[in-house]
Amino acid sequence: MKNVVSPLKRPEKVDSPSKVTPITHATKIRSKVNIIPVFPATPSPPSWLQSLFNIQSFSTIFTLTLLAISLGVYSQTIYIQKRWSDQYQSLEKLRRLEQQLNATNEVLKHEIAGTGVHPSSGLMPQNPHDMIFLESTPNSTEKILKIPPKNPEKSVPILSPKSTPLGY
Amino acid sequence: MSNNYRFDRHRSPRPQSPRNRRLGENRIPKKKPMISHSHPPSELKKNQNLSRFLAQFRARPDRGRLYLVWLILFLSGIGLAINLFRLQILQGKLLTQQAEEQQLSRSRPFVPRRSIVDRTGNILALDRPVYTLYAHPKYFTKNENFIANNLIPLLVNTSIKEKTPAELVALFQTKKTGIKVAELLPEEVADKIKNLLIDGLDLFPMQQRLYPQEDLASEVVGYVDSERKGQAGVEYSQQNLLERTMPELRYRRAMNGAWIPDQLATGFVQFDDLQMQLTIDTRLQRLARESVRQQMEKFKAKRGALIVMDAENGELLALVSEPNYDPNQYYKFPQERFKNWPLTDPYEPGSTFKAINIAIALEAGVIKPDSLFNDQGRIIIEGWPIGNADYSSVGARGMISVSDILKYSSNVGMVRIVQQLKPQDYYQALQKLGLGQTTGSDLPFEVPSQLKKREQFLGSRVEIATTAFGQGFSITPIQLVQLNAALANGGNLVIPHVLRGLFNSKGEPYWTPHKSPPKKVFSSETTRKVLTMMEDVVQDGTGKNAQIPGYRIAGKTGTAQKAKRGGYSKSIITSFVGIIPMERPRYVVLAIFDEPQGGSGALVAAPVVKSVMESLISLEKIAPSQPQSLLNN
Repeated sequence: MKNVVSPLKRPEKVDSPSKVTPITHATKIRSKVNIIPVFPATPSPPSWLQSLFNIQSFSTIFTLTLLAISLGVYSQTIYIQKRWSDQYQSLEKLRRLEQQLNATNEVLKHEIAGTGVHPSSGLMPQNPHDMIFLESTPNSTEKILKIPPKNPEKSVPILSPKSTPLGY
Repeated sequence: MSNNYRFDRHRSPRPQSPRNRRLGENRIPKKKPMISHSHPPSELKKNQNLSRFLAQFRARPDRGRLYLVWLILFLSGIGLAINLFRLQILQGKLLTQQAEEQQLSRSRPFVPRRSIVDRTGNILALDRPVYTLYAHPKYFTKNENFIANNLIPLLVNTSIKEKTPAELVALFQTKKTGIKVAELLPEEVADKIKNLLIDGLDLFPMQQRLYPQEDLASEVVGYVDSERKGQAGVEYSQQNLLERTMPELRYRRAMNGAWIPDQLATGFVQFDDLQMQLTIDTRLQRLARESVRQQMEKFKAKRGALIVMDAENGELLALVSEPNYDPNQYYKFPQERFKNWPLTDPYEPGSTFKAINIAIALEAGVIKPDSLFNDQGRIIIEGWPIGNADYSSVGARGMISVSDILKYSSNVGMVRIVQQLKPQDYYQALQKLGLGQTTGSDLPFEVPSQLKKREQFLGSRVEIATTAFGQGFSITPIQLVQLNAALANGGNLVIPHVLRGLFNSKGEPYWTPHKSPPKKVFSSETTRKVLTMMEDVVQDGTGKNAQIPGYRIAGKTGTAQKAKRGGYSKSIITSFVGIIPMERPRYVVLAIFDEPQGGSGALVAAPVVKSVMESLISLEKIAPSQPQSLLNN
């Protein structure tokens, strides 16, 4: 460490190794200032103070991190509790609605059926005479199964609009 | 470090040295790190500042002020620590307890009783919340008249006794707290009361069992009393399946004041969606009840019953017992209506039992369908006259076949058939059929049928003779159906039941009752022969009123005198049992009318069985045996 620094006349001289550590970022200032202050030699801070500074900076970061985490956890706790409360209440509400819907539906069904029994309603119970019974055609499924599914030529005529529809 | 610098400025009013000021101009403070080894001038300055600050602090004469501040802060810290110690250690337990009392509540969450549904999923019973309204005039913040005027319009059509606001005000003046104003308020009324926002009114929630179908299936479903205990029907017999239990839960008061559970128990959020399914078909039950009611009215019968059973598995599709009750208002009905008389009142079945006796004789091999017996029309056994019901009009029929005996319901013929059996064999056969026992159905309060004691039965010829045509012993209607089902299904004694099991909302079974294999009591050949005879009864005999064109039906009428102390009264009990369809006998329908004014089984019961069978054909889609005869009609 040098005690004396000669004043800077030109910017080129800044890079000289014999000079004090240059202030490289202050190019503009350098052009204005002609005199560089001269510092007396000072001993480096005692190691205990240095370590205290270190501890302080580390603990500040640590504390801030902890604070952020705890705030996050706390807000999550509150948020989850609120969500749980809301969701539980909506569940309860849905259950109530389901129950009300079921009850109303059944009561209505009963009332409609009750009015239907009266002769004045114009309704009458189903009677075998009014029913249509169709004889089952046991061979129909066999016929369909006999068609080879891999052969498109044979299945096309069945699906073509020209053939008689089976359903009518 | 920057603090130090500020302190420096505040504490030392001396002007800064020009050197320092220049340095201040030169540095770019915001970008500069706090400690930087690459910039020794900055560190030098910091060290200088610190040592200067310490020197000044030592030199200041007014540092007592600082001590004072420090002392205040220190003492406050001590005070806080002491208070913390007091709250956490000394009063900790007490305060925790107080907080828990205010914020926590331990209770079993209310879980509704399971619903009961019929075989097609129609709900027969479900729970719904109801409220009891309490008033605490002590906490009223509004005028009593104002409260009464607002409440009365909402409480019309509820259980409230007070009909005018003035009466309600008078009620409010009787006590300071805890006045029960109205009970069983439905949810919509409770919501309206809540919306009035009146202090001092309290709505206490409860659950009520609702039977939306009212009296439609009350003999099967039963009812639940005010203590939520089932008292009749499956509500009573299947109480443990219907009740849901939950572990005790802790509830915490949420920020908005609502109670929410603070932990999750299994099945709490999703309590099981299981429903109890019955084998009853409400559509058939409704039509059957209507038919029974109409016939009871027509013949002024005292009681009526109708049972439809699937003979293959013992499922009851309909069970009507009239008169019955509305389970929503069970308290308004006399107690004897709750007992379900087709299960609790044995009766003398009369001729409907003849088919069973013929099956016993055929099974024993003592008769054949074409065996001939002499029907004298009237005989005397041990001094007791036994005659046919139509003796006065028809007289003696002479030699007739077993089939004709059943067709004309000949009492004398039946006595002759049973006389072919050894008395002890006959008694044993009756016991094998379950006479003297219950059917083991899952409906409650079933009473065993009554058969005379062995010695009494075997010791008297007239006992055997009367049993031959269905008198002298008694049987419950449900058991008669069970025996006829054995004829229909090829000789198996299936247990009549209404419970299908517990099913989830998707219709998947969760639990089904264990079914023991049915007892074989007749050979299928025997039952086939008996059914053919019973078909003749409907085609040409006493059961013509049950004919349905296009369908082959087996059946048997029954008209029995009612037993009274020491003999028989003039009143009768009429019945008809039908089995459909003959090609594949499956459904047994029994109708019974107690004390109809006039008429017989053929006249009173057979038409009801017919109409129920018609409904059954539509509901179960039973194809006709002779489609042509349907077209002709």
